[in-house]
Amino acid sequence: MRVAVLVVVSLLAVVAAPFIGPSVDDAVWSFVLWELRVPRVLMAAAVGACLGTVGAAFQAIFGNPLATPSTTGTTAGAMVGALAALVFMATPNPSIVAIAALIGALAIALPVAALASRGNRRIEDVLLAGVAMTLGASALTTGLQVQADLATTFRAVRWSMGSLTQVGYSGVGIVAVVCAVSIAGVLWHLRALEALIAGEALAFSQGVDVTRVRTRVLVFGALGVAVCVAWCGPIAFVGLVVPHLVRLGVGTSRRLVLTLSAVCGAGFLVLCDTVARTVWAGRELPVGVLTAAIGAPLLVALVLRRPGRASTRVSK
Amino acid sequence: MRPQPLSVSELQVVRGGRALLDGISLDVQSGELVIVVGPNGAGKSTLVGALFGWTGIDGGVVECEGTSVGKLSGVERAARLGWLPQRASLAEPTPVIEQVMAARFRIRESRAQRLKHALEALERVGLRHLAERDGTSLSGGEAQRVSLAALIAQDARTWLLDEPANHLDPRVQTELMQIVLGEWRAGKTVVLVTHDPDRVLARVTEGPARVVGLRDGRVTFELSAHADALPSALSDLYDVPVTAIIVAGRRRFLFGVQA
Repeated sequence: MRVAVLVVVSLLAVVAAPFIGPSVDDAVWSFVLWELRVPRVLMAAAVGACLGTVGAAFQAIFGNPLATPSTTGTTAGAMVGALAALVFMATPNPSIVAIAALIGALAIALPVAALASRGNRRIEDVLLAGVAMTLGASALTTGLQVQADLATTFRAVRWSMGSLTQVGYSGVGIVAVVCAVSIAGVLWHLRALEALIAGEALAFSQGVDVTRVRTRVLVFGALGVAVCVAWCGPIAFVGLVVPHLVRLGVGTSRRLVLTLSAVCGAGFLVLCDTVARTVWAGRELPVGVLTAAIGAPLLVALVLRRPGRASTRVSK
Repeated sequence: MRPQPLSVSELQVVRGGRALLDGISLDVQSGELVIVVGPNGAGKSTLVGALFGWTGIDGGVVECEGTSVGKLSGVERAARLGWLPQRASLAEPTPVIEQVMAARFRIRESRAQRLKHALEALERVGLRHLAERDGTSLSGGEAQRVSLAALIAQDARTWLLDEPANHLDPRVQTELMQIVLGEWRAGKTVVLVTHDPDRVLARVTEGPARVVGLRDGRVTFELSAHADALPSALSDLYDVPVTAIIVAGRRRFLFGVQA
């Protein structure tokens, strides 16, 4: 019943969103609806679904309810790529910026995944490598910003806020397809992710190929996140917030959290984006600002509520 | 006749230049209970980790039913060997029933079948009524019985139990040990690491049971659980006097007591 409510509410948000917004003349209504709002909602739905699922999956493989796609350096890598394109190109073409962001994201995510694929690595080491890569990438970002002129820096800052603004359907198709592949690749390992609930050693003893699962989930997840970041900029906290909202709604079943995070992620980001573009008449709030405003306090609340835990690990 | 559950020869595990296991050789026969004892740091947990392939080994061979453990696929290995840690910790709140169902990863079956087996396993440890509860809200004893239910649900042929009752109160320790020994009497092969050999040995008056002493990564003795030499072997192992007395017809071991 609660599952049904969550799914219906999410789908309703997606279906209703294009019709919400300031009223426009009949003459341009068709253009506004089909060329601005619908593609934007579709983009938000794809990105939200992907970020939500990948967030839930990363929380599962890292055994940490606070893990997010940003933890593996994917977002920071995309920042460097996009900024490099903005700085070094005289007239930055949006799709080249997107491709540069994708390359940057994968340049960081893949080494982290490669590290995770080595059997003798503990998942904590992978997490630390991700954090180190993130810090390194942030330093590069700052270095690039020093090189840039004022206009470029402004564009970069604007991009880094995350935006789903969309004219026409360019990018919607590719983002949707890659997000679908990413979600399917992650959920393909659903049972293994369930078995990881009590730690890697126990999952291993129950027959899970822990190394293979974490590598594949990292790669599929990073691919989806990289494409999302490349096209829309980093939209913070979606991967963190959505799985926890699902938990609040339907309880703690890892199976439900993983499977429902896609549909709820879509609903959540569409809802945030609808608020972001309508709350301030005549201006638009970057959607990343809104998701961060919801996500940051939630993160703090989760950290404070998190019980201390003991753990046992066989030396490895 | 089933192939030999475990055959270990010249097993070496080295970490940071120190040999945690230094040339261990050990055979476990089908249906046998092998009680592994030894002081802290003797290498007992490392041995168990190496037996199911989690702990990487630096030398020697660990074979399970005739195949090197490292060469088994995850699913094959989980059919042969099941592991119960000292204490399992959940990464996040999760219903008990899902934790037990997840242990059947190796088996292809419908979700209804999996649920049925998981409920049966919970029934066996007397916790069916907790199926819907959040696993992180359980007491230590309940949590460990849920872990045991997961092990039952996994349905592996050989059990590796690493001090499963270590931190539990006497009643729960006793209940847990009764379930484990019940499985052993029903034919399960069991390797049991314990700091409390008396509690186990008092309940093992017959059957194929052996005590293996481990110290500084080496096997110091292997004796039948019924051997007369056991008290002195335990005494040498722990460097404390050990006295055996007969209570209600059963041999009990008093540690730190000189006869």
